[in-house]
Parts: sequence; C-alpha cells; structure tokens
Amino acid sequence: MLNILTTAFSMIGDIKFNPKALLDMLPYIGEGMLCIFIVIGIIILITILLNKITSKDK
Amino acid sequence: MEEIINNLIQNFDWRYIIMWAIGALLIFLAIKKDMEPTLLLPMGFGIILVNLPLSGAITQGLEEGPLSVLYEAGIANELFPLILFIGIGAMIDFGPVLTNPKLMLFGAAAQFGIFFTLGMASMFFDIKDAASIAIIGAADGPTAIVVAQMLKSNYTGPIMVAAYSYMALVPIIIPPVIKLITTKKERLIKMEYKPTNVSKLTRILFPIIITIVAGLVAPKSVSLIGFLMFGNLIRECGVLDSLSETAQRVLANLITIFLGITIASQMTADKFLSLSTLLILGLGLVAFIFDIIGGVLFAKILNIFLKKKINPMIGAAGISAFPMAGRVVHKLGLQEDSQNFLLMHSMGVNVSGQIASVIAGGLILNFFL
Repeated sequence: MLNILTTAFSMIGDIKFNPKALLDMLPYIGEGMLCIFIVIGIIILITILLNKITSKDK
Repeated sequence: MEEIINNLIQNFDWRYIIMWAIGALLIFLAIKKDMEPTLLLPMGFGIILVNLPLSGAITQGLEEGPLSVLYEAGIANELFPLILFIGIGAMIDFGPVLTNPKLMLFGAAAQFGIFFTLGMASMFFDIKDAASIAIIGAADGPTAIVVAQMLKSNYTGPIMVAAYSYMALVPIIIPPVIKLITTKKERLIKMEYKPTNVSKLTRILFPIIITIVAGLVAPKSVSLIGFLMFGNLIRECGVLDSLSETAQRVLANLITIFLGITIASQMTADKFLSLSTLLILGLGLVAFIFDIIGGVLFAKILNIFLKKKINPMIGAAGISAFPMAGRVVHKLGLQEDSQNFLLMHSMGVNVSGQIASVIAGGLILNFFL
C-alpha cells in the first residue's frame, strides 16, 4: 500500500511521499513539546514568584 | 497598437485568470465577510497586480519592480514581521495571564498542531519546508513569515496565505472541533474568576524576564520574542504612552499595508498554482485542528486530577490568533449557558498561546536552522 502511495505521489509534480520521514521526525515532535512545557513551566514559576515579591507594591 | 496586442498574446498565461479569481476572492472575503481585511485586501489586490503579463510591479529581467524591492527590503530579511511584532506586543494585555499564570500551560499544549504537522509535512516535503509549513500552526502571521524566511523555504507565498486565511477562519474552525471532542456537560462547566490586581512592577518585569528566558532556551527566537516583548514594555512602562499608541495603531497599520501587498509579490501563477500549494493549505488546516485538539485534550486530562474542573473549551484559545480565538471560546461558552462567562480565562489562555507559539517558532529554528 505504502509503495503504491509513494509511486502515486512521485508522479504528481514536485511532491514526493516518504512515510519513513515521519519516524525520523518523532524525536523532534517529542522534544519540541517537552521543551515548550519546560520553558512555559519556568515562566509560570517566575511569574508566581514575581507576583509574590511585588505584591507589596500594589 | 498591433505590437501591444501581439505582446499581450505572447505573454498571456491562462493561469493569470485563476490568480485574478483568487485575488478577487480574497478581496471579497475581506470586504464582504470582514475576514482579516487589513491583510487579505492588500494581498488580494497584490495578487492581481503581480499576475498581469510582464507586470512592472515585480522584477522582470534586469528591470526592478517595486514589490520585489519591498520584498527584499522588508520580508526577505524578516524586518516587516518583526516590526509588526512591536505593534502586536503593544496591543497585548498580559493581565489575565499574570493573574492566573497556570493558564499558560494551555498555551503550551495548543502548540501540538505545529509538531504534529511537522511529522505529516515531512512525508511530502524536505525538512526545512516541512518545518516552515508546520509553523502555520502557530496561528501567527509574523512568526510564520520569520520562520519560513530564516529556513529559506521555497513555499513562503502559500504558507503566508494559509497562515492568514486560517487565522481569519478561526471562528469557523474552532466551534466544530470543540463540539466534536467535548461533551455538553464539559462545555457547561463554570469557572470561577477572582480578579486580583497585578502590580505595575510585575507588568514591567514580565516582558523583560520572558525575553531572557526564551532567549536563553531558544536563542534563535530572541528577535521574535524580543520585539513582541519590547512592544509590551512600551505599553506597560507608563512613560511612553504616545509611543505605545503609535506602535498599536500607526506603526502596525503601516507595516500591515506593506506586508500584505509585498507577500503577494511571491504569489505569481507559476509559483502558486501547483499541487504543493493545495497540500500546504491542507496541512495548514491540519495544524490548526490539532492545535485546538491539543489544548482541549490537555484540559480534559487535567480535569481527571482536579477537584475544581476546568471548562475544556478554554484550551482551544491557546491556538494564539489573538484576540479572536479567546473571543470565539467565550461566545461558545455563552451559547451553551448565557451565564457562563469564560472571557478572562480564554483571553489568558489566548495570550499564553501567543507567547508559546513564538517559543515554538524559536524551537523549530533551533532544530532545523
């Protein structure tokens, strides 16, 4: 089935179909989402801290 | 006269007619449907302008065209989108997210569409083009332009059209996706809002600290996040009101006029009318849909552990597309129950989505530049 799809797509203009590339991307997908949550987590902690430190200045 | 007609016949391409129709459609959507008119109208007119035989608006041989010059001056070096970010930063009130910082988690979850689409697009395009297409899911035009340009994508034109068109279609895309993955009971969940004052010092320090944190983690995103946060600092510092107002109105409007019409210079029939364009439009929609799914499902997962339940609809606002996504979620809440006010929560998630989408853009650049 994959071979048929690959051949079909390769016949359409500049589009190619390479399902294996999805597997190569999996580490980036996982790492990307993890990094975003880590950065946002750090920003949340800093914001909470900021709110506490500056609460006297309200 | 005969020479002009001969020239016209020789240089006419039937694909121009399709491009005129696409340009007219964008102008129609902008004027009649009020869909992102500030961008779709200049883009629509620009498409017609560049798709005329031997159009002098774009470079033809050795003769330079003004739109090509503008493209080199403002888009190829990412200057226009970055300057626009100053205006956007000045427009954003981070108040709701500073009041309830945990809302930022939904902004992070709603970037799932970017990475999901990265996987999908990589099956059809080379890695840099796939990454540029995936960033359509940032639902943020300037981020998409900067990433596509820095990665030197061959598909900047279609990526821009997809990014801005789907942003305009947020009110149409979000409701059915939410209804598909939530129950009526979940959509009726009411969320308490405790208004608390955020100190001026916090409002001033927030953009500076975000720039430092994002810059340390993803150095390549520092211009993106830095310009956004610079705009916000102008807004919050309290001593640059006139600059803040100029950034929000005059600067943003001026850049937007040039941005739309200049992007159109990349939408000539030979570049735009291809199957890859259709595929990019499809993948862009996938990115938007999976952003919404990511945000909503994250809220549903959190609800398993929380005593005070969260209305999962607010997760969809993390798609960025500020401020439309936040308003759409609020309206959906009111449709389910006229006493269910989700605005402050959805806007909080929406501005977090704006921050998270820029960080996602930076990460994509870090991975693939």
